[in-house]
Amino acid sequence: MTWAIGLGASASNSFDGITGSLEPKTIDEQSMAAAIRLWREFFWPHARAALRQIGLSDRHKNARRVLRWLKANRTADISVKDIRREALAQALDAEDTEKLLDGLTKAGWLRRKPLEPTGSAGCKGHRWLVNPILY
Amino acid sequence: MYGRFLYAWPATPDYRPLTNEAAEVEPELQSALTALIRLPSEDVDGVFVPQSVWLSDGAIVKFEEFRQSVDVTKRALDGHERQWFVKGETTVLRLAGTLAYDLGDRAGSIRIE
Repeated sequence: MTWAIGLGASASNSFDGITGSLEPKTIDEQSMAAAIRLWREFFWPHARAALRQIGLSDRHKNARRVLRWLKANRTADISVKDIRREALAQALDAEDTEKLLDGLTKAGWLRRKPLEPTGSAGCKGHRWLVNPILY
Repeated sequence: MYGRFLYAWPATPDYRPLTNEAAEVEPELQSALTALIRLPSEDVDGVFVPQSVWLSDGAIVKFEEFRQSVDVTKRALDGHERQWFVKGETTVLRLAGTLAYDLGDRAGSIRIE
């Protein structure tokens, strides 16, 4: 989406609106209508798209932070501890970090790895595989 | 603050070594900014004179209609979207002022494609 101002041939080569004419004493209806239209049809949809990319909430923000960390480090598989310590700098506790990773799993960015038995001492903690499409 | 200015979130650019080649600044843009900076703000004695630029009656009607629509729409929004949206009133006011200064009669010819 783009916007432009329909300047005539002579007007497009100059900025008489601010260089030659007197300053306006009032803001007229036409300028107000144009500003509202510009905001509603151009600025708002673009801001909305940008905000959706940035993340609409802290949950989105943390998910985005994890994805950026995974992309930068090209990590093939991760644990809650990796993400909590390295990507999130302990911003979340282990439980919330696991919920975040489950959310990323539902979104298709991660896949939970089957647990590997380690002998009599029990199982290792959960690990997640990273979708290589991220790289 | 970013929400007021950014309408895209570009990918981080790759590393590029320093260079002395810089793109030229558009002369039209430079002229417009210079003209705005040089708008007189003092009287003949060089004393600062504040000026009030009022909304016309028609502009007030349009602005109130917009404010009413913002008041309705914001109730369906939350989080960052709502925070950005409610700043629309002041943004529109500033935009209208800019368009009145910059474009005058040409303000109605904005095309959004």
